Amino acid sequence: MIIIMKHNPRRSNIKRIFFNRKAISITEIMVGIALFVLAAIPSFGYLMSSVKQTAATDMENTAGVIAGSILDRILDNVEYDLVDDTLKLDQISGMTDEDGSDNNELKIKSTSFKLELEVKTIPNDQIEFGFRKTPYIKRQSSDSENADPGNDINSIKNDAKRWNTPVKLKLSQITKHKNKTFLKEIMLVIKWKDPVSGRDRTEKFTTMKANLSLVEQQGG
Amino acid sequence: MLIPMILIGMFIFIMFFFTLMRWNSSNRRMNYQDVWGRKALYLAKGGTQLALLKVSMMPTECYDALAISQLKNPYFSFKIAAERVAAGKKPVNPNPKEIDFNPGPQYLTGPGDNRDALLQDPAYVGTKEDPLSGELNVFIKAFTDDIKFAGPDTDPITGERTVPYKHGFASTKVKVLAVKGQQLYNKQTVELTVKGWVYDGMNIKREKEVTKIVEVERK
Repeated sequence: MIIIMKHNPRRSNIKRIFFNRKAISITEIMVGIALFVLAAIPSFGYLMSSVKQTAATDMENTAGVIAGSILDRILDNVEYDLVDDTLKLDQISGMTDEDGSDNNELKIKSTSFKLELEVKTIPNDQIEFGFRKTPYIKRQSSDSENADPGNDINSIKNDAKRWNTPVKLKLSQITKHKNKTFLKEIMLVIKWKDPVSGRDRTEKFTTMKANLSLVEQQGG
Repeated sequence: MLIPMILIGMFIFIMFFFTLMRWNSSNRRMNYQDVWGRKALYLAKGGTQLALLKVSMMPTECYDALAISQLKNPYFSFKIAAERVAAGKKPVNPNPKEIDFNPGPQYLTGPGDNRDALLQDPAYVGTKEDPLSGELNVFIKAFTDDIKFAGPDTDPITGERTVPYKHGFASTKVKVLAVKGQQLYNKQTVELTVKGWVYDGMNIKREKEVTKIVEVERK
C-alpha cells in the first residue's frame, strides 16, 4: 500500500520556525535575555511584595492560633477567680516558647509575640436579666390532660397580663453570693513586630468568662 | 528561532508567576479570614458563658419558657405523671389529698386542638431560618434578649460595640431536644446557639456560632 503525503505549506512554515537548524547569534541571545529581564524585573518585584504581605498575614494567623490556645484554656481550665491581668499567658498557652521563660512573651518562628490580658469584672448590679413572667394557669379539677376553656393557649395569649408581663432583675437582686462576682470581660492583646516590614502589629480578641463553677457547686 | 523560544519561555514564566500569585493571594485571604473568624468565635464563646450563667441563675424561668414553647403546662409535674403512668394510672391527679397530687392541665391545648399539628405550624414555632420567630417562642425570646453586650459603650438595640472594632453577639437559637413520647421529668434538654460577629477591616461581617447542650430543670 502506498501512502501519498500531501504537501501542507502551513505545516512546513511551523516546522521552519521551530526546527530550523540555523544557529542563534549572540545578538539574538542578548536581545532575548534583555526582553526576558525587562519582563521579569517588575513581575519579580510584585511577586516579592505579595510574598511579604502573605508572610505578614501568616504572622496574623499565628497570633490567632496563640489567642485561640490561651482563650480556650482561660474559658475551660482556669478558675474564674484566677482570671486577671497577672496570669502568665505564655505558660498557660501550652505552645512551645523559643525563649523558654515566663515573661508574657511567646517566641514563635523567631518572632516575639507580646501578650497582655485586660480583664474587666462586671459588677452584679450592672448585669440585668430579663424574662416574661410565667402566666397564671388555673389548677383544673378534672383529670383531663388538655386545658379547660380559659386555661388554653389561646385564652392565655389573649390575656395581655398573663401573656406579656416583662420582668427585669439585676443579678445583685437574684444571687445569694453578695460578695462574689459572676462575669468578667476579657480582652487578649497580642503585639509583635512584622519581621519583613518592621511595622508594629496588634490584634485584639474579646471574650467573657462566667463564674459557672460557683453556681454549679453552691447554687445561685 | 529566537521568537518561539522567547514566547515559550515567557509563557512558562507567566504560568509560574500567576500560579504563585494565586497561591499567595489565596493564602493571604485565608489567613485574614481565619483571624477575624477567630475573633467572632471567641465572642460567641463569651456569649455562651453569659447565656449559661443566666440559665443556671434562672432555671425555672428558662424551663417555663421552654415548656410554653412546647405547649406544656410549666407547673405540671411530668415526673409524678411518669410515675403514675408506670403504676397504670392517669398522669393527671386533681385530688389534693393524695400523695401524688398532680393537677392538670398537662398541655395548654384545648380538647379540640391537635398539639402535634400546632407544634409544626411556623406561626407558632417559627421557621428554620428564624427559629425564635414563632408565637410560642416569645417567652424564650424574652429570656434570650439580653444575651448581648450591655453598658454605656454599647448600642442598646444591636448590642454592638465599636472599640476596638465593631463587634457583638446574640443568642440565635434555643431548640428543645426532645422526641415525642420521651419522658422529661421536669427537665428540658436544650440546644443553645450563640452567634458572635465582627466587622473586619473591609467592613465585612464575619460570623461564628457556638452551640451548647444544657439541661434545664425547674427548681
